[in-house]
Amino acid sequence: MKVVPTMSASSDLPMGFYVSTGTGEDPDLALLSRIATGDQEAIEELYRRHSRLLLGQLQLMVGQPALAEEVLQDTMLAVWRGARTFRGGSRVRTWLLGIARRQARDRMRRQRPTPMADAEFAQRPSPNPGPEAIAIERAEARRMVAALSTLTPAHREVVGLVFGADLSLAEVARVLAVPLGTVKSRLHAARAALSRTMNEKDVNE
Amino acid sequence: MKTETRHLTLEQLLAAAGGQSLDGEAGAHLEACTACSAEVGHWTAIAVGVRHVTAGVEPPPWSPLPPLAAAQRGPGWPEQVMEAVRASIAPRRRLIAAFTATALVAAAAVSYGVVALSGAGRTPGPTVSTPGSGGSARLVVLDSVQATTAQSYDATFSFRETTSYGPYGQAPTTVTLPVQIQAESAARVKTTVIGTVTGTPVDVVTISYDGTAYESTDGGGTFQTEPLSAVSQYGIENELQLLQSVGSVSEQGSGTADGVTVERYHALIDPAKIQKELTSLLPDVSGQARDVLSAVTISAATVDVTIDGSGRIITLNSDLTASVNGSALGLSGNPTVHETWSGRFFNYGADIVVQPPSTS
Repeated sequence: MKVVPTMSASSDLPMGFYVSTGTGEDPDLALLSRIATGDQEAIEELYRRHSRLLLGQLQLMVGQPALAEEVLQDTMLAVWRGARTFRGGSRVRTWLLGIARRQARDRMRRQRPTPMADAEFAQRPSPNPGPEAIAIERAEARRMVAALSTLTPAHREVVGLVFGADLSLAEVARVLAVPLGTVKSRLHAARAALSRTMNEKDVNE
Repeated sequence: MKTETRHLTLEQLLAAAGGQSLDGEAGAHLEACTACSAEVGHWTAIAVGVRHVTAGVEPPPWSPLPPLAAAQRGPGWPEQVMEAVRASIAPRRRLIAAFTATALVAAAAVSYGVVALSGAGRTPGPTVSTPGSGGSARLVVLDSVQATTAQSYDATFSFRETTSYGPYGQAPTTVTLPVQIQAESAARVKTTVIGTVTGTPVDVVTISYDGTAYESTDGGGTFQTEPLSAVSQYGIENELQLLQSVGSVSEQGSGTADGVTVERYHALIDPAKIQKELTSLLPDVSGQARDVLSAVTISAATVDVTIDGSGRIITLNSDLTASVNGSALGLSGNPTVHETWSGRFFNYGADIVVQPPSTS
């Protein structure tokens, strides 16, 4: 697991200014540096690189595809305005996920929470269609998707960051601005809730 | 011999569920341990479900940023506000903007010196209360201003201001500037500020000389003049005047500062009093500068001073917090400003001569 410098749980913002030489190994750093100077091509490139990841997480968080896309736009606007503030204490994608999360929470605060539309997910084609074994897996996945829709936003968020964004637990803690132990407890709680839901469905079916 | 290994950690279980292969002892344990294999299976099912959701999304094509948004690069607004201030306020007041980089800071800086300056034409009072002379702590602190400005002195200050913005990646902006003061008398004071504000070099010299203020923003190359009456309240040297808004003072005991035996005082500044003075400035400013000043609310200010046996200030450290009504300025969120001044006074009674510049 990658070890990432921790951030104060109370901190809502990355602190300080980031100055990139543009020569680092992470191309995202160079992109952020260019964005900070007003390079619109750079933010477009950043969007290409991370919009799928961000939209996936936002979809999990807000539950509505259209709203998730709106929040994605808000996120990119915030990145445009705040590129100079990235200090390099985490991967850029972690920073982006943190911004997306705050944007989503801000949106959700302003409107009534909407139940996750599991039908939206279930009808999506699998990104990796394959043989019969995959088809069975897809069926299981759809059952899980339906169960995911019953999770609380906080639980959906944490499993999304772990399995959708492939963040380490330390990175998840940073994005959520919570202690590592809280991440673990949320994960266990999410799993327990999913197990209950799946078992109930099995009984009902 | 049977080798026992510990069960996998959560991190390892998640890594395995995410498709990573575990090496060494962990990998061997996973193969042998039915409990851990079952755990990985549970997590894998969740991982597959999550990826079914996240991998199926298709982001819309990139849309160019709206022109207004495109113009708002970086923290942005302080420069915008500062530009507005530069454009709308008098030269002397531009100096404040140069000092502080934000109009908000200008307002806060004003608050420091806003109490009508008596230093320029003031006759030193004969009744200076010295520590231990029986006067109240508040009176001692109030009198220390007179005692300090009644003679020549040097002073150095470090000004630091941090502006915190709203959410979404806008980091606090910090400005730190050194301020040097040479005072021949209360009526003849030279202030020099050399530093950088948001990348812009600042090299400002101001001279108050017998009722006239001279200012240079090019390091003393050229000066402009203004009647002192029009600008005196903005004088950096009038940091001392903050003490005139003292609400309450507590004695902190004796000690030494700069090798001098001193009494220490902690003063709470009355925010309402400063705010009132700030508000009184509004008729004198125009445009967005006025909007900025109107939007500022000073919430707290304190001053810690050390005073020598002659009632003169040896060190002075102040701390001020203010907030801005962002919506009044068309900003998202309500920025807050935290300012500190940290300074020392020395060379009392030295042969310091301040001369007026030849104006251009």
